[in-house]
Amino acid sequence: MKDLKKKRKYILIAISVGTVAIILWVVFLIWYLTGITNRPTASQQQEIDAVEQGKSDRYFADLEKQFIIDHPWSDKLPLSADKYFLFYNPTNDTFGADLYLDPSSPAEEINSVKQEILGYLSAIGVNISGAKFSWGFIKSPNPEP
Amino acid sequence: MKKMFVLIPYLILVLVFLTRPAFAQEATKFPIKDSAITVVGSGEGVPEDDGGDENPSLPPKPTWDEFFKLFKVFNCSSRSSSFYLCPEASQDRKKFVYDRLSDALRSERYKTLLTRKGPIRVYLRPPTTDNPNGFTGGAKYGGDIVQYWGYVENVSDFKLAQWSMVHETGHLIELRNPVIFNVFKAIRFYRMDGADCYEQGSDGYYIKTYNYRNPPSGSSAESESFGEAVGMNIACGPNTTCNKNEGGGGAGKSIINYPSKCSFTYKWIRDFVYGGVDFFNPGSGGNTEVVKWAQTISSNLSRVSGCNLYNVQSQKICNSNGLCAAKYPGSCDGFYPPMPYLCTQLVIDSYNLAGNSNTFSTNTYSMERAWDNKSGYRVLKTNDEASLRQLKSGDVIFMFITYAVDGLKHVVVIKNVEIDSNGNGKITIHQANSYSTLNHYTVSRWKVFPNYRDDPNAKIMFGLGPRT
Repeated sequence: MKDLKKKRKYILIAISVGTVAIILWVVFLIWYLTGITNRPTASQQQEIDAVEQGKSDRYFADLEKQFIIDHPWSDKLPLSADKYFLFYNPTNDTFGADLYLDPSSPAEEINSVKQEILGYLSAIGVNISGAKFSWGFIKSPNPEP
Repeated sequence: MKKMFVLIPYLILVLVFLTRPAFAQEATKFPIKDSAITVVGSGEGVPEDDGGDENPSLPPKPTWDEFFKLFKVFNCSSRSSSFYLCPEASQDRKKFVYDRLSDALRSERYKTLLTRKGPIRVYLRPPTTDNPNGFTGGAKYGGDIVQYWGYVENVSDFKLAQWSMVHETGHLIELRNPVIFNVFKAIRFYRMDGADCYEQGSDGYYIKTYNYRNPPSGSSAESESFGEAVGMNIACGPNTTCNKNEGGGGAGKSIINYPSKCSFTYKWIRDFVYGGVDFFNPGSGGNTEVVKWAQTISSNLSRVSGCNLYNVQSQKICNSNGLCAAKYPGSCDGFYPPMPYLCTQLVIDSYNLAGNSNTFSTNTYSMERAWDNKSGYRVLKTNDEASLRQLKSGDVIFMFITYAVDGLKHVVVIKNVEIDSNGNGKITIHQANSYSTLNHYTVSRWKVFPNYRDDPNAKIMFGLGPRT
């Protein structure tokens, strides 16, 4: 009698496990197949891509437009001159200049190059009185092959 | 009967397992061979040292410290002693290894392929008895060891030693990246490069500079040809004669002008092992056809009346094969509908009209992902010297404020790269659906500054087009 009860118990457990497995499998199949059918068609995807990219392009265009409005001289920089490289760094709103001089060069020589740079910036319309500068010293670049 | 009834649920479980949907196939596993020794040359009768100086047009070599984080160099007093009995090599020997292996590491891709699974151990040993005056190399040993017998210092020719030493690293790349090696094997380059480059051996075709026509233990014709090509892409430039031992008793033959005679092999190794780095022609090239079409299309873009964005493409712009750029009516705000000529469309059309067929998405994010997976193309994900040194006209710049399929992103085509040896200069670009069609970005100390305030989450990536 006990054996029979034990067997029934095992049978019930086995049937339960099997049933749960089948249910999970069916749920999985439904999820998988509906996943396929819910995917957009190629033309729908193209439309989605176009909408997404259009929004992004507009955002970047606005950034560029604002940059040009705020920095009307931006097409005049960077400048590779004989004695320096001059650029604008939008990250920290600073004008950077790499002077092709040794830091221990005579002060007059360094000031002369700096004055040349300030003169150029004034000429292209930069308000140098409120501008931030970052001065660097670097070797004159080698001619590229 | 009841016992069978008990088994039914288990049978169902087995059935469920066997009939599960297959979503993806696993990549074929490549059988890893170990303890193979490959003989790379004899070192006899070689020409004079021809240098090995820095080339400023290439990406930089790793520094000494960077290099020795990736390579551990040992010196063995015996040609066959246990690895554990070999102490760390002297500074001189380390320098010898650094000088010859660091050039290849200018390529970020090579570095990644070689060292992604951990550092490499290099063992320098005395000459073997069968080759007392020459040198021999070996690799594999579980995928992290290369050995050189004869110390290779006996080889007076810098390039020859470099070629042979890099050859062995090619075997480790093969073991550590079986998918790449399987593709190399599957292409069967001997059919494309022919007898100018390959010669038949007992088990297949060997690049004919290789000294043997029977595979060393655990190796194969494909394996040796792969290693040989990885080394030759560094050391065998145009119009030079490359040979290891012609007339010296081995089977190796000369190849004059390897990039031309083995052009298919050379280009594939350049693109897939060295990530597009051309060690013989670093500053040249560029895809002038792509630039030409990008310029033609972008200069013909117009704006919807009273609006800011250049996204109207109404011209018939076709190449000699009758392939034409897309036409779109454009939209004032840049949004679809009506359809604007998107930034991505400029890339798609410029490449297609230039003969670089593609089916890229019009979504920059999807395009960048596909670009990195397309044969011959490559995406460099860092805004630094290593990337900028590889840029050429016709490549593209991907910009992401948010790196996601629905994030903010833009792409432009590079018209010209002007960067001096200090890393200063500018990159001129063509673009569509923007406020301008021709613009430039500043480059300062090897970093690109686009023309907008940097967002802390912004990413800039560089899409290298195919190199011809």
